[in-house]
This record gives sequence, C-alpha cells and structure tokens, in this order.
Amino acid sequence: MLKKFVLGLALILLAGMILAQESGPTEFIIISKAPRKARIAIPIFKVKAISGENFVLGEELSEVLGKDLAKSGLFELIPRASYLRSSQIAPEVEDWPAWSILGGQALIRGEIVEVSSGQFEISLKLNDVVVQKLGVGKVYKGPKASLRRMMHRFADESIEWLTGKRGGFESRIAFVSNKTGRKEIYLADSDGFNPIQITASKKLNLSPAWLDSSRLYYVGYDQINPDLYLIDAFSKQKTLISAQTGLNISPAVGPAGKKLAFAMESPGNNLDIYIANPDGSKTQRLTYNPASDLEPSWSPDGHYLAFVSDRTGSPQVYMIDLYQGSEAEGNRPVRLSTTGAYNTSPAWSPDGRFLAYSRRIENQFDLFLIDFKAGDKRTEVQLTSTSYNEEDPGWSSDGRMLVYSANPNGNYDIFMISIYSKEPVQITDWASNETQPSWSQNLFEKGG
Amino acid sequence: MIRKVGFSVLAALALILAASCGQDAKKAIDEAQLALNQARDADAEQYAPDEYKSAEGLLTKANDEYSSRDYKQSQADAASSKEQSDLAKKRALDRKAEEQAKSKETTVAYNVTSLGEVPIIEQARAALKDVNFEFDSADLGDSAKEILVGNAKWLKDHPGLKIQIEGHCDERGTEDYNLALGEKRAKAVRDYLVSLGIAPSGLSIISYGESMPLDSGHDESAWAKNRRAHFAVIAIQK
Repeated sequence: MLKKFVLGLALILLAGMILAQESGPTEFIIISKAPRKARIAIPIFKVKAISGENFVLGEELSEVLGKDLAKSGLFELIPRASYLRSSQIAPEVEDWPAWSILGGQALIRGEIVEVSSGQFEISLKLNDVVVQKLGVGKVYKGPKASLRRMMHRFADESIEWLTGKRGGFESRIAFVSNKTGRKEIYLADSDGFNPIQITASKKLNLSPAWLDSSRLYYVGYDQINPDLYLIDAFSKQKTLISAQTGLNISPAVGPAGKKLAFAMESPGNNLDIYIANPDGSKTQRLTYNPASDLEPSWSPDGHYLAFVSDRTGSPQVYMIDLYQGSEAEGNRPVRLSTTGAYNTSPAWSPDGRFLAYSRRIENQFDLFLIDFKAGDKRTEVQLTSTSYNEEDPGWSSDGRMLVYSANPNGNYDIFMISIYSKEPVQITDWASNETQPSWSQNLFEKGG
Repeated sequence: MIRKVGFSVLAALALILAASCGQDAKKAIDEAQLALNQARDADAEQYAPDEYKSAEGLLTKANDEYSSRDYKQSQADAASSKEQSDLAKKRALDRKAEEQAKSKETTVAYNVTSLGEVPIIEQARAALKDVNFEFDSADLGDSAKEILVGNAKWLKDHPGLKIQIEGHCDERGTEDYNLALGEKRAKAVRDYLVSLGIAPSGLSIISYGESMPLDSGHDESAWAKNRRAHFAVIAIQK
C-alpha cells in the first residue's frame, strides 16, 4: 500500500518523465516480412470531471490513442466487444488471464481528472500482459485543448516501448488545400484534427516543406511569379527566399535544417537544382543539364541528393553525390528508377534506408520504395496498388510511415500508410483537394 | 430476431442515406467551386466584390460543414454560394461593360488601332487562341503551329501589347513536375512566336502547372483541354 502511494506520488512529481520503463518485447523489423502486430486492449478511459463523470471525453481520448496505434501498423486493437472484463475501472489487481486469453500482449489504462476548472491531469499506464507488469507509466497535465496531443505523445511512448524507437504522432502535417477556391497552405495535427489555414494570399500557394517545428518553406505567387518563401506558422510572417523571374520551386530541407536545396531558373538557364543557406544566401548551382531538374530530397547524412530529371525525355529519379562537386565538374548523377516511364517525388527516409517515390502505371500513380539495405543489392517494394492515384509521399519522423495524397473519392485527400502493414488510413475528409503533405518532426523533442 | 433484422436494415438505410447526402453535398460544393472560378474569371473580385466575398465565404463554410459531416447544411450553403457566384459573375460582366463603354467616351484612344467598338483586351481575348499539347510534352504539333501563326499575325497587326503566355497542365503527375512542364510549354510557344518575328520584349511567360484547369473533370476530354498555353494581355504600351 505504501509502495503504491509512493509510486503515485512519484508519478505526479515526475509528470511527463519516464518512470518505470520495462524493456518491452523489442522487435527487429524487416520490411519483406511484416512483423506480427502486438495485440493491445484499450478500455475506455475513466473520467472525473468537475461537472461529473464525462464518458464522452474518455471515449474520445481512448479512441485517439487507439487510432494512432492501429495506424502505426505495429499494434492490433482487441475489439472492446470481446473484452471479458469490460469495466473502465482498473481493479486493484489486474485480471491478467482475462486479457491474455484474448491474445493480449498489452493493456492501456487511462484516468482523466479535471483538477481545476479546465485543467486536466491524465494518468496513462501501458501494462505488459505477458510479464504482468507496468510497461510505461505517464502523467500529463494541461488544459483541455492539449488532451489530444497528450494521447499522441503516449502513442509515441507506447511505440517506443514495443520497438525501442519513438513514434512520430506528436507532430503536425502541412498540406495544400483549395478549400477557399484557391490553393493555400494548411496545418493540422497528425490525425487531421485542428486544421488551420496559414497562408491567405488568395493566389497560388504550393509545396510546403518544414524547416523546423514552426517554420515552413513554400512556393507562393504573391508577386505573380512562383517564388520561394519561408513562413512562421505562428506569426504567419513571410520572408522571401528566392525570387528569380521564372520558377523558384521544390524546397527541400537538408540535415538539421542547415542547408536548403531547391529548383530554380537563373537568368538565361533552364530549371536546375541549387543548394543554398537556409535564408537563401550563398546559392550554388548543382546540376547543369538542358532538361528540367527538380524535386530534390536529401539523404539524412547530407551525402546524397535524390532528384527528378527528364533528361532522358521522361521524368526519372536520380541521385548525385554531394561530396563530388557540381555536375559541371564532371559529377554524373546516377539514375535510380529503372522501371516505368514516369517516376517522381523522391523522399528519403529519416534513417536513410528507403527512398519513396511515385510511379505512373497506365494512367494511375502508385507509391514505391527503393530499399538500399535489403541484403547486398537494391530492391524495390510496391506500397500501393490501386485504381486511383497515390502521390507526394513524405516521411514520418520515425521513418515507419508515409503521408501522401490520394483520390479514391474523386477529390484528393490526405492519407497515411505504414510501410510495414501497408494499410492506408484516410486522414482528411474534405470536399476540396488536399495535396502535397509534409510531415513535421516530432514536436516532443523540442520540449513542446 | 425480426426486430434485429429490421433494425440493421434501418441502420443500413440510414448509412446509405448519410453517404448519399455526403455525395450530394460534394457535388454541390464542386458546382459552387466552378461557379466561383467563373465569377473570378469575370473579374468579380474587382467589379462585384461584395457578392464575390459572400460566395467565397459560403463556399468555405460549406467545406467546413462537409468536414464536420453536416452534409445537409453544407449542401445548402454550397447552393447559396453558387447563387452568389452566379450573381457576382453577372454583375461583374454588366459593370465591366458599362465601365468600358464609359471609358471609350472619355479617354483618348489607345495607341493601338482599335476595330471600332470592342476594347482591345476583349479583341485579344477573342483573337489569341489557346494551343494544346500531348501528355507530358511541350512539343508544338502542326495544329498548334497553325494557331500560333494566326496569333502572331494578329499580334503584328496590334503592336504595343504586352502578352503573358501561361503554361498549364492536366492534373496527372506531381505539382512540381507540372510547374516545370507548364514552363516548358509557355517557353515553346514564346520561342515559336519569336521565330515568327514577334519581339521577345513584348512576351513574358508563367507556369501555373496543374492548378488552374479549364475543365475540372477527370477524363481524357477534360485533360486534353487543360494541357494548354493561354494568352493574356498584361499591359498596353503607349
């Protein structure tokens, strides 16, 4: 009893810090063989609100957490209807056999208390059903508006418990929408909630790319020319980064945000890739080809740049070694895409292992992965195979998922897919077109 | 048991009903969007700003309601938005015609020989024809060249106009690649006009990629219309 009390006290005192993290069943995941998902039960959280018990809140928040875990492709939710013990309230001693008989490996219990008006405290416990012990225990405090974010944070914690690597759900996605009739840039939580519009130029706004947790590059037609801007998501203040007459497009942020790559037409030249400082200064030309070179993507170590070029007549994915100087110095790009007549949108995974891209097959686009580390040779994995389009892949910070745009309903919406389970999940359901998503880094690391 | 079946049938019906409402709302939003685009093309932002703003606001509202699954309200607001857009378009066209008639009476004629009644911008809009392209190509076909020869002749007859050539693409392919492709199309048209003796100083180019389709459809006939170079008068030099 005393031990429990001390534990409870410590949980409160060390809110938000790892208290008791058992080394969970870590799995080494290989993409060619999908891992068996961990079966998890998440009974509806218990709520003690000042205005009495609030069942809906407990249901909503347990749903947010459950959806993240299911979406990750690493967990499988045990349907609530099959629970033997359906009580929301955790008993003094968990009835472990009642969960393990359902094949459960983990059980998350949550309790939400409104400590003062509008201020909440959530205690979340992931229990390891197999060893019958607490796996991860956290207490988070904050106003009502922060409750969903706490769920995303605990989803990331749960994924870390299972795999040893933190998840990427406490994050935001930036994307383009023509909801107002013109393409503007929007932000939303990683599950599509809390959308906000951040540009309002009533012109064209395209290609958002996160520089850090609060600033994004994008292409804007404010001055009737596609120019490159940097915008602060909070103050909405814009800075002009590149404004050569002609195209200034395809912003791509290098490792740690120290360099920027983009595609530009300098006076008298066609579209080529340039490298610059984050503020657009010290621009250096990288490619020198009379064809269009665009859509750069950095390898996470900053050694290589993947990009698209139509130098053979149709768009294909290439890679150039940044340690060997520019193309004018005899540095020849290597062609990576070998199949198909139309390959675009390369996106390098944060661990450097994969390059995602979009390939046109007949009249449709599907997502593919190049796996650089599958044994000795490079292999390709087809992620989607549908009768509609999947385009613009972007990675989650943990490198396990992609965000992309697809049009199964006619209009384009934002989707996510786990590269392991390959199960697509729809994130936005707007009537307009939502495209070009970019997934931010995990906001937790910034102390936010 | 019968009650249960009855209930599930009811539930299924309700689902179908909800889904069809969503479809109806989406259709209404599509139509409202199209009407808003047409109003914008008619310069309603300038000539009927109140109506235009109202249409724009209603469309945003309809979109928001769609997102929160309030399909009935969404459909109603989309319909009102369309009405406002249609009104904005009509008023903008009326007011523009009025203004142009007035300006003709009061201002000195352009340095350009105007064919009597019709203002030069309207003449240009009618005379300078769009040219179309094949998928993923900026090559000018024979029919495109014929059109450009006609456009060049008209431009020679009406010197002093500053023309912007807009390159457009269909919706297939990535945004960025289509920006590059649209730019190539606009350049191909500019270079051909220059080869026909049009001064390059009077021609500028811009790419809008896939963002400004003429036809919002998702089939080859829509795509064919959208793969185009379009001409716009951006200034009249004295």
